[in-house]
Amino acid sequence: MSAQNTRTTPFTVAGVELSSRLIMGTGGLTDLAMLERALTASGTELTTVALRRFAPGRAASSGDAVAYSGRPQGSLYGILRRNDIRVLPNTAGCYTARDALLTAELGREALETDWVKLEVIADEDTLLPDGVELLDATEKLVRRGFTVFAYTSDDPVLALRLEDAGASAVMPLGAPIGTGLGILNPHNIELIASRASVPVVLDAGIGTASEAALAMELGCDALLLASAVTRAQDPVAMAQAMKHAVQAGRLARGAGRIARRTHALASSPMAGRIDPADDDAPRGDWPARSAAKAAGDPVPSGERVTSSDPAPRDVLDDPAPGGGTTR
Amino acid sequence: MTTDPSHPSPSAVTTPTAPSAARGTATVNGSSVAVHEGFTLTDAVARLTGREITPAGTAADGHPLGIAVAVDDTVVPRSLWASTPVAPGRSVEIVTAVQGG
Repeated sequence: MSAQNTRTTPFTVAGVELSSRLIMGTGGLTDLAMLERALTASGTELTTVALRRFAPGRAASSGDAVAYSGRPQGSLYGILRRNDIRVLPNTAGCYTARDALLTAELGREALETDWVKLEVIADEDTLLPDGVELLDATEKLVRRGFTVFAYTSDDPVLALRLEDAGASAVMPLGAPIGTGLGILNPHNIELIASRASVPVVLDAGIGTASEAALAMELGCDALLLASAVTRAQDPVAMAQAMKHAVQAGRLARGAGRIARRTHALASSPMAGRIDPADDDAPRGDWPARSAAKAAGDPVPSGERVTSSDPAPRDVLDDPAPGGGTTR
Repeated sequence: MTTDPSHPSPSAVTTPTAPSAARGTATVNGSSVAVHEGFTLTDAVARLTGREITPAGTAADGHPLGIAVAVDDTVVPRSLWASTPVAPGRSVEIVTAVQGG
């Protein structure tokens, strides 16, 4: 795949094309205006929400999560509608397949979408996925017509099981939710990305932009994050950083990185090097330099190259062997 | 979920909208609510959200409602809210989407 194709190929999941490969969660920011700026800065076209009891008077200033429903002004719904962002309801907080099924059904009814980010966690300290319940819930939700985005551990075997069960995307974690520890097992993530035939979305654990780029370099199709942006000191700046990191990582993946080597490999040509004067020749001494020039010797190295000197130009114009660069 | 009837949530409206006498209590979002003959899920949603709900289970103001309802752990589609009474002893969950990862 060419770099151009890599950059422009949309992210297709469950038959829907998204031009952004960054999926952003909405949790963690109580300032609605800030959330909207962060979402738009990230360029995301898909964002997660949770399902909770309707609480009258729930507002941005209360410190609670902001409700989706309500009138367009001052609601999560308004933000997503204005910015044309699709909604992906999650089953956060569910510990069993049974809980997750009910929550998924509620999300489908409330938001009129079959898409669900399936999250079945084992305990509240690690928030790690419970693989057994997750697989059970995936099978049942697929039978009920859901498009399942399965949040899973970084286990390549479980990821394939979820795909076999009908998940539309598998979403392995980089590290536990909200830890910002980055990608703890890059090898496993790469294995999952290379073996899955459904889209692989790295979900959770990202702390900063380099980790987002790494996820894409490892072959993930997309990245889902929330805390890394919403809990950053400057969420809008971090959202922008993540947007660029995902694009950069994707481009780099498509560009084909060089192989790792044990020893150095010069990128400048070895041929045509100058022959430096003897070490004991005086340096910076104009009469000596003039004398050397008059005798036809090269100018001592380290003193010669300036921006106006035409000599380096010749070097630059000389194509380096193997397509390497001269600098 | 358990409800302590001695500490009703302030969000629970316990006054019936219809003049008929209360004939028991149901649980709505964990709070005890007096229900009367003819009190439906549409009434429960309207009361909680403060919005007018059409018989089809949509918001009368034309904006999406963004609400889902489950009775005793079974989702009741919005189209059935108007014809589903809230019987005493039932547990009703009325949920919406909130910010989340």
